[in-house]
Order: sequence, then structure tokens, then C-alpha cells
Amino acid sequence: MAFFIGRRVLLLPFQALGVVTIVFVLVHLLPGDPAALMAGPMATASQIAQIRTTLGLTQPLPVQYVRYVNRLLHGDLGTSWYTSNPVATDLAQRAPATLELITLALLGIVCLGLVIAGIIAMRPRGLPGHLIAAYGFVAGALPDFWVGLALIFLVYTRAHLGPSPTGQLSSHAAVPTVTGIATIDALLAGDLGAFNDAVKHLVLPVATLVFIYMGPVVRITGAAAVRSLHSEFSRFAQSWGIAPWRRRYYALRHVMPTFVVAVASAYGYLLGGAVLVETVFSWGGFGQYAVQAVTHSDYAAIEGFVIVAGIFTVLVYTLADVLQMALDPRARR
Amino acid sequence: MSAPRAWLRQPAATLVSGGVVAATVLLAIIGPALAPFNPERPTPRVLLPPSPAHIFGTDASGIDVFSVTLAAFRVDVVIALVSVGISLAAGVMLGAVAGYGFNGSRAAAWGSAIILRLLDLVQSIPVFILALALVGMFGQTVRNVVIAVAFVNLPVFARLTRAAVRSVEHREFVAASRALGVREAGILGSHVLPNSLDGTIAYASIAVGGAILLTAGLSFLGAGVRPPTPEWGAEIASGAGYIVTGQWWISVLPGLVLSGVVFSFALLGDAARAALERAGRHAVLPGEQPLTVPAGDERAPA
Repeated sequence: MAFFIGRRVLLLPFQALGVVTIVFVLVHLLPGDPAALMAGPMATASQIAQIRTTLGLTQPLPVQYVRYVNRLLHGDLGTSWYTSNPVATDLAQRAPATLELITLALLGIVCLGLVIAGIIAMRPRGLPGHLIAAYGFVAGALPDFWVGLALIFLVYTRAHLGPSPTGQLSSHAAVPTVTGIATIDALLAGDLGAFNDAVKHLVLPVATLVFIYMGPVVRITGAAAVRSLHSEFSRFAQSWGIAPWRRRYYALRHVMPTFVVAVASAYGYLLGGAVLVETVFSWGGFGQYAVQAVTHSDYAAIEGFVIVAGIFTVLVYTLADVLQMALDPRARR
Repeated sequence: MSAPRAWLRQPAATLVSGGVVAATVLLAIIGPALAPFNPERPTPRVLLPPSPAHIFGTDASGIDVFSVTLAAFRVDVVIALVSVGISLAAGVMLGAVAGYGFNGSRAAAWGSAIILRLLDLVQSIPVFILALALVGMFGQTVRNVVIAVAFVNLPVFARLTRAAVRSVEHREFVAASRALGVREAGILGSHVLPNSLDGTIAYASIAVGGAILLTAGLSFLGAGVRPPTPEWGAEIASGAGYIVTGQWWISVLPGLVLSGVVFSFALLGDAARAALERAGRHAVLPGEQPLTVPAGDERAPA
């Protein structure tokens, strides 16, 4: 198994290079002078000239490509004209908050998703099964930003529960930034009041993401569970008089690889969803940075967030493949 | 032909979703004409709650929310239909070339491998982030929104077509055409493709719903269709700031209309898929494997 996992992991740098290549090609398809675009609308001629030298834009494309990859390998994603910081610094500051948001949402999806898949496996044709199927469709049709706004209205505006739904912390609960994750920073500062506040700020955005992005996971896993229970191996087990709970266990075990793939792709979707949900809740993370970059035509920042998002996804899929190889001998090919 | 009767035997949900989809397309044509008020001209009647005169209320510029919602059918539905049309056409062509073996040609195998790796690359960036970046880079115009939405949907159509073509190309009628001396491109175009499109077209209905969500999402962020052009996501955004002060109708009601439309397109696509399955056709559709993970035979990392 180690061989297959090693081979899969070795593929990772090539996939990352693929993401970088796509971005490079896209940037060079843009009309106009890349240096002027990167420099932003306020740049002077000398600034543009300097960027042109840094990017090596006077050289042939293959040389530019090698220099570009080399720059990225050294962690240089260029400078944002809008924040006038290095894009890598900007992203490193904002990414932890987003990672916290989508990882908690993913944990929620895994826990709830397993429970729901279990319910479907117990009674595939019962009312719960139909309700869950309906939920899958509804979750797929509602915009995540709309669900976030609806939750704010119901929970904050109407029921007067929780702090004002903006940001990760109320302004009175500020703690020194260490990790960029408000809950952990509050704990590091030993401020339980701030921790409590940070947790309350997390509830609505995480609930929004779980509600929307659990839909496909439940639909795919539920269908796989039903198929598994009606499969030949399951009927074979039945004919041998194996206890029903044991057959359900076999079926669930058989569904796990599908579940892992569904959850992994949910992680990728969550990053995209975070862009919208962060905007609704003024979360101040990676997603809001991306929006700010797009609305201000901040090309270096746009490049940066696409590369980081792509590499994140490639990492997640690699992890999913490795998990799948551990769970399913047929994946070790 | 039993097609019409088979249609009637569909559950009521299919008829309702089919009706909503038909009404949606109709509203895309006549919606703006039905709007009771001008959806772009501000008035002093700001932030009025829903009433018989303004059934969806008015927004912060005093514009009738119902009129905006009606007029937006033309913008959102046309963007979604055109972009899905582009991804369907381009994806089917790419998928057909990638899937068909051209009677075991080496060049075809190479071409297929290259196309698949390119699709992998595009799919390794989350759909919404890629669409946002494309619009950000190439400029925030309606045309670029259409291109971005079409581009991010293309890999799914290509993969679906490829899988369907591969399952058809070893059938007897293909061998028969080959024996009769039909050229490989001719076999692909007139025998293989027509027999492998049904599942892809059923998926197109679901994709239209997805394209509407994507367009609305981009516009919600201010990166898609810009005000004053009536658009669902932009209207939801214009009401977002008033949610905490209690003026819920500006965001909530257009969102419900949008969701109803997306829901119906998804239900119709699902019903089409179920009907294909009952008819015993090999509808290759997403559902068992999520599409963003390179699925099926592409998953093996070799």
C-alpha cells in the first residue's frame, strides 16, 4: 500500500505545477500590458517599468514561465497594488480564519452526514429517506449567501440571539492576533469571554455552509448506502443468515470510500462557498480578500488567490485518494 | 412511439417542474414587459414593506422589488441558457474526441490523454473561485460572465460525453458501419454521438440551475451583472444591508423566486435521468461520483 500512496503523493507537485501553468496562461491571454495591469491604475511609469523587469516581460515566454515558477517557489506572489503588501503576506494573514470556517463546516458535514447516511441505510424507503432526498434538492437550489442572510434575519434580527453577525469577534472582545483564528487567539490570550464571543460568531456562517454543502454529500452517500444494501454481497450475507445489524455494518463499510470522495469534493466547494458566506458575515478572510481583489482589478492578488485555492484543492484530493487507498483495496491500482 | 404517454405517467413533481421551467423560459421573453413598475428608475417610495401595490415591497432606491425580480428573468435565465449552450456544444465536441477510440488509433489515444489532463487542471480550481477570477481578470461585463460560467461548466459536459461515447463505441452498429466502410469521423458524428447524448442533455437542465446560482453569486459580490441592470443576485445584495434592520423583503423574496427556478431545472433534469434509466438507456450522469474529483477511470493516478 505504501507504494501506491507514495506514487500518488509524488503526483502532487505536478498537479500544483498544472494549476500554476493555467494561471500563467490565463494572465498571458489578457489583453494589454501585464506589467501595467499588475501595477494598478495609480502606478507611475517607473513602477511599471520596475515590474516589467521583475516579471522579465521583455524575455521570451518560456523564460518568463521558468522565472514565474521560480518566483512562486520562493513564496513570491507579487505585490497587491490595492493593499500595497506582498500578496503572500496578505493571504497568510487571512487564510487561517477561512480555514477555521470551512474546516468546522466540514466537521459538521462529516458528523451529520454519517448520521443521515445511517438513517437512510436503516429505512431506505421510509419517510426520513424521502425527507432527506427532498433536503438534498432544496440545499442544491438555495444560494448560500441567501441562506446566510435568512439566518441572520431569523436568529439575529427577529430572535435577538447572539452578537451582531459581522466579523469573527465583537469589537469589545478584541484579542491580540497570533494565529489569525479568533477562537484560538482568544484561548491563547486566556480570555474566555472573547472565546465565547468568537464561538458565537462562528455559529451562523458554519450553519449556512453545513446546510448548503451537506446536500450533495448526503445525496451521494445515501444513494450508495441503498445500493450497497441491495447489492449481491448483501443478499448473499442475508442468505447465510447473517444478522441485519451486521449486514448494515458491511454496507456502511462499503460506502466509506464514496463518502470520503464526497466529503473531499465538499471541502473544495466550501472554499468557493466561503467567498460568498464571508462577504455576508464580513468574515475578513481569504474569500473577502478575493472579492476585494476582483472588484479593484488587483491582478497580483487575483493570481495569488487562484493559485492558493487550486493548490489547496489538489492537496485535499491527494489526501482523499490516500484515504481511499487505505479504505478500498480496489483503489490501489 | 410511446413517448407522450410515458411523459404523462411521470409523477406530478415532474409536470410541475416542467411547467415552472416552461414558465421561466416564457418569463425570460415577456418578463420585463409584465413588470408593473420601471425596474431601473429610483423613486422616493423607499423601503416599503410588501403591500397590494408592491407585492414584494420596494428597495432602498424606491424601486419595486417585484418588477426587478420579473425583469431579472431575462438577464439571469438568458445568461444561464447561453452559457450552458456554449459548454454543452464545446463539451460534447471535446468529450466525443476524448472518448472515441477512432478504431484504436494511437494519435487518438494521445489526444484523449491530453484533453483529460487539461480537464483535470481546470477542475482542480474550485468552480466559483475560477469563475470569479476569470471575471476579475477579463473584466466585469455580461459577456465575460457568460464566458466564465461556460468555461467552468465545460469539463463536466466533456466528461459525461466521453463516458457515454466510450460505452457506445463497442456496440454492434459501430462495427457494422465500420465494415460498410464509413469513415471513423462519420461513425462518431452520425452513429456514436446521437446515441450518447441523452444523459448529457438531461444533465444540461441541472446545469442551467447551477449557472443561475453562479451568475447570481457573482453579481451578489458585485463581480457580475451590475446595477441598475435587474438581476437576482445584485438585488439580494442591495437588500443585504437592511436584513439586520428588519427590511427582509428586498433580499428574501427575489432569492425565493431564484431558488424556485433552480429547483425546477434540477427536478426536471433528475426526472429526465430517471426516465432514461427506466427506459433502460445507459444514462451516464453525475450522482454516484462527485464530478470535481477526477472520477471513474481517471481517478487512478497513473
